[in-house]
Amino acid sequence: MTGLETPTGWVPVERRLFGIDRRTLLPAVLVAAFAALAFWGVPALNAATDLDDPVRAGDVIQLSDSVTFAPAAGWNIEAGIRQGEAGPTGNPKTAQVVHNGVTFTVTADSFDGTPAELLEQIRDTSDAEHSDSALTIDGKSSTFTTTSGEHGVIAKFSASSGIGVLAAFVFDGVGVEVTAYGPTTIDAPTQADIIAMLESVRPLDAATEAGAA
Amino acid sequence: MSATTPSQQGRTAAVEAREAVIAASGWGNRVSWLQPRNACLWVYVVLVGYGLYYTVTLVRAETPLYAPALGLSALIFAGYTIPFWWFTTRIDRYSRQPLSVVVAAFVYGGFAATWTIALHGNSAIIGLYSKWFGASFAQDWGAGLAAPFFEELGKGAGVLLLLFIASSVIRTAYDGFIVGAFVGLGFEIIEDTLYALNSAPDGFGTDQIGNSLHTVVLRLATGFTSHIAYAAIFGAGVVFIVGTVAQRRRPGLGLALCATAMVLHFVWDSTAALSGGNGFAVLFMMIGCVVLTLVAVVSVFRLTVGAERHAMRTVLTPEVESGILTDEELDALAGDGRARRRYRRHGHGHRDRARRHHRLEAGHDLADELARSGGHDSDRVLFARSELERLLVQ
Repeated sequence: MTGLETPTGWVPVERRLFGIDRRTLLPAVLVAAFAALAFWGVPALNAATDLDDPVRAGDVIQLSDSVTFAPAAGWNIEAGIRQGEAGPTGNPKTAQVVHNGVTFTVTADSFDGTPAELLEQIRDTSDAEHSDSALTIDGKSSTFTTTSGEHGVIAKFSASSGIGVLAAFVFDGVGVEVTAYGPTTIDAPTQADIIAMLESVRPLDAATEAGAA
Repeated sequence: MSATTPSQQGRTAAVEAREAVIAASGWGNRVSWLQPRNACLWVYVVLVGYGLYYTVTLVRAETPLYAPALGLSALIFAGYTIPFWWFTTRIDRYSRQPLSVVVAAFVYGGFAATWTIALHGNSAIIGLYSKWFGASFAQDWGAGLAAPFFEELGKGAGVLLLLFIASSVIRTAYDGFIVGAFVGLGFEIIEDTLYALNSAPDGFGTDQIGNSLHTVVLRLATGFTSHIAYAAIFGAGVVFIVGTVAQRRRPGLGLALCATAMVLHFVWDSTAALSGGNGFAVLFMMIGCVVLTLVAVVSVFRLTVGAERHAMRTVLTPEVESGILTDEELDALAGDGRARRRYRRHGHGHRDRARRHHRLEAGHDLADELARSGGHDSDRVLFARSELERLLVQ
């Protein structure tokens, strides 16, 4: 018998299992299982786990170190941290509460301009994104005043996820975007909650003064 | 029947040792990527394939609005890749990994470990932390308790797959260290580009270039002592755990190295939470983490490079005996940077020092050709020897 060299990549027949090199099965299965855990397993567990964090009367949510609003009691906090509960990393700049299919989102970030300019910026960004979550602002905006006397603008919008309102405020270099959207039919108590939460948006300094008063 | 002389006996032993170390180390072997019976290759293809698909969809979604930020950050990080690619290739100076393997490692790190594994796993686990322990806990500790698990294991999974795809060339813990570094480099580049892109909408998208550039600068400053280093340490650990024909299994050491990479990553991602938000303490911790990471990666380098240097010495020892190389040159070629500098500095004048530098490069070429030919005198080996003789007489 001549001393033939095994060709590169040749797998001896006794090492094959259903045609696959037996030696590669265990590492392949381990990596595939880990990838499946990351891609499907943990996300499925996250989706199946409900977030149960109902708003209590008197709760205030703070965004960054600049803005607060008072979520309506009974709504569920999906994102954001109550004032006074943030750890060393501080408060995030977005908060979201949901109730009866309605989602109320507040985002605070740096912005130099007027509320009307902020609304235009949001409209332009949304138009350019062309994503499923993009919103179409319907008609003209109108002015809106909060209970602390801050002036903003408000407009109706429609999106693939429903219809709603979008409000824009600017507090001393901080822009605030507030969206509330849900199904076409919303009951009266929920509508009242939305208006109350919109009216409660204020800069942190005003919130501190109101608390002191 | 004639007896061999002592010098002939010695030469035969040295040549046999050379052939044995070439066979064991895989130096000079080629990698075939056509391996339909290799389950690891199929898993690699699926993971990278999804990652590439996700990249295309992300670019298509972001380009209408954030093309300038995406383009600029991608350009900057592409440029950032070059020196790190050069450096990592440079330290792989003994039995160098084939180009196809390092490219495969980079691609896996950039597209599979990021999009397929880390993105989904991190988001989901941080969501769970928020639901189980509260939003504040998730805000402070989410990244530190998610990324070390999904990102380091994700990158390490790439080293494991490549270990079984390219088993003919990935043989030592140092090979795992190098392959891991390239996986980490790919991960770093793509993740940094994503972070820069995610910064573009800040300020309601009014200054996408400014916002993304700010992130680019931050990521550039800390890139080397994060994913590249962590993955290199983890990669060496993977090979120690698995073992190969050239690497004795040391599962305890391997697990310790993997854990080290994960702990370093945890500390880096949790500096704000660990320091209680104190600005000075955060800076101190970040600097401390960078220093610790550098110490760890240099330590692992020193721990694993010995086998490579031994291989280089064994391959070239017969060349010293036949007068092609000197003992001093062998010590330089099989030694560290200090040994090489010492050899070059012993030259008299600039031209002699340049000649010594060229002799070392030519000696390395000879070692590569000997490995490629399995220790036999191929045409390329003979030519490489002639180059050394040419450099001797100049």
